[in-house]
Amino acid sequence: MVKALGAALVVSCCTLLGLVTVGRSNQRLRSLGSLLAVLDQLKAELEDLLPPLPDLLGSLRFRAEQPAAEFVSQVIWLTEKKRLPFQEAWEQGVRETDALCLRPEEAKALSALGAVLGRYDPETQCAAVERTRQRLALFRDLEEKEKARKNRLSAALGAGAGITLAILLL
Amino acid sequence: MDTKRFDEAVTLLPERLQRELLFLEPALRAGAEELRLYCGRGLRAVLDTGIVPLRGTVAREDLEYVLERASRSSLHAVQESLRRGYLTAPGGFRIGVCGAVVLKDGEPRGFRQLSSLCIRIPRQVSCVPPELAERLWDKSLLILSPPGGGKTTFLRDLVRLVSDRGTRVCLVDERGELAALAGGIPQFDVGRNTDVLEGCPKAEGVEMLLRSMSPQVIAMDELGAAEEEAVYRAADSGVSVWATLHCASQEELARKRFPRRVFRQGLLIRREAGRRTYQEVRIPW
Repeated sequence: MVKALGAALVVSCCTLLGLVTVGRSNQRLRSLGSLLAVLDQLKAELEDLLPPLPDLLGSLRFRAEQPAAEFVSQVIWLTEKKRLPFQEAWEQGVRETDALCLRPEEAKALSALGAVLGRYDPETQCAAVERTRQRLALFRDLEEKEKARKNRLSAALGAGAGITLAILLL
Repeated sequence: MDTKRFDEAVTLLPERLQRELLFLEPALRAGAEELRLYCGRGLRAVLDTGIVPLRGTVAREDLEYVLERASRSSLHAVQESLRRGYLTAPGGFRIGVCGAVVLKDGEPRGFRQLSSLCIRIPRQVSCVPPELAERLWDKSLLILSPPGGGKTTFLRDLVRLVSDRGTRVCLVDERGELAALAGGIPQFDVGRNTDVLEGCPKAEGVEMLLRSMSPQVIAMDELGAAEEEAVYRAADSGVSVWATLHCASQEELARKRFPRRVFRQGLLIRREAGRRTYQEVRIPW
């Protein structure tokens, strides 16, 4: 009885480990998706209304999904309360918003946008936003493919390892 | 002594320069009409008695910092005014910009390098005698003085007085200095019944207001040739028009071009020994 329970526990843990890996992938996909939505809205507002960045970010903060909303709030806080120049606030926001779960190359792509926003004419800024959007979309597509691959592999490996251990214990 | 507007203007500067300026004597802070920053040459305050040099050095980065603060990190939002050599910071502070200009197709596009900034410090002053407002409210009026003479301050106060007595006044605030809207709310008191159109060229602004806001008075700063047709249309619609114009004397006024058919009444503001005087002038057609 005890051995059976132990075996069941081992199988569950190994399967869970596989699922956690997949869960992290889902989190990254959600993060990239929320950032892409923010960039879409940013570009649309810059094209049409030319709002000052503080007003634009203020409005995005309430419309964005997490974790992009947290990132936008962080940038606003750094510019308003810490009085950092916008570029610095944007870059620091990318570094400090852990919930974004960005890989280094993704963080670099998003950070680079801070050097353009608010400094050039609307056309140049929109072009830079679009380039960033396309790069992040590419990273998202890669992550989706990776997730699909890991999904099958991790679950199978997890269950397989667990069953093997269970057999050995029993 | 009201140093509030000066202290607000100083918040546009880097902290290093703020520290120098906020400890200046109250009389200077209350009297300063402009703050001028010169790259490599320092700071100046402009008072009605003259220019006063201030402590502190000004680097190129300081001018860029002021521009970033004044534009709220959004040069795209002020590019139209920057092409004309100025921007208006939150609070209604008009900042004149000088430096190396970037041209495209022969037209100014912006600045490659900044060399100096002039931060104008507007103040809300009750300077219009109520009896004057009572006499002039239903007439078109030209407010005249040399630059820095107090035309904008006078116009703002006249708008406030007449609006508060129940007249529908519409303000075409092209540069955002008269009302200084923040979140849709005027930061200056321009009266309870005043509609403000900010950032709009005056000619287009007058047309929009005539079509949609049924004004009794339309007020604007710095009348130019571009507004002539619109001013005629307003007057022909029975609307009184108030406008300011750079002019130091009646002799100079005789040589100026403006819609004379509309403006038969003028008010010349003079500064003598630190005091302002107001002289009503008839404008010959």
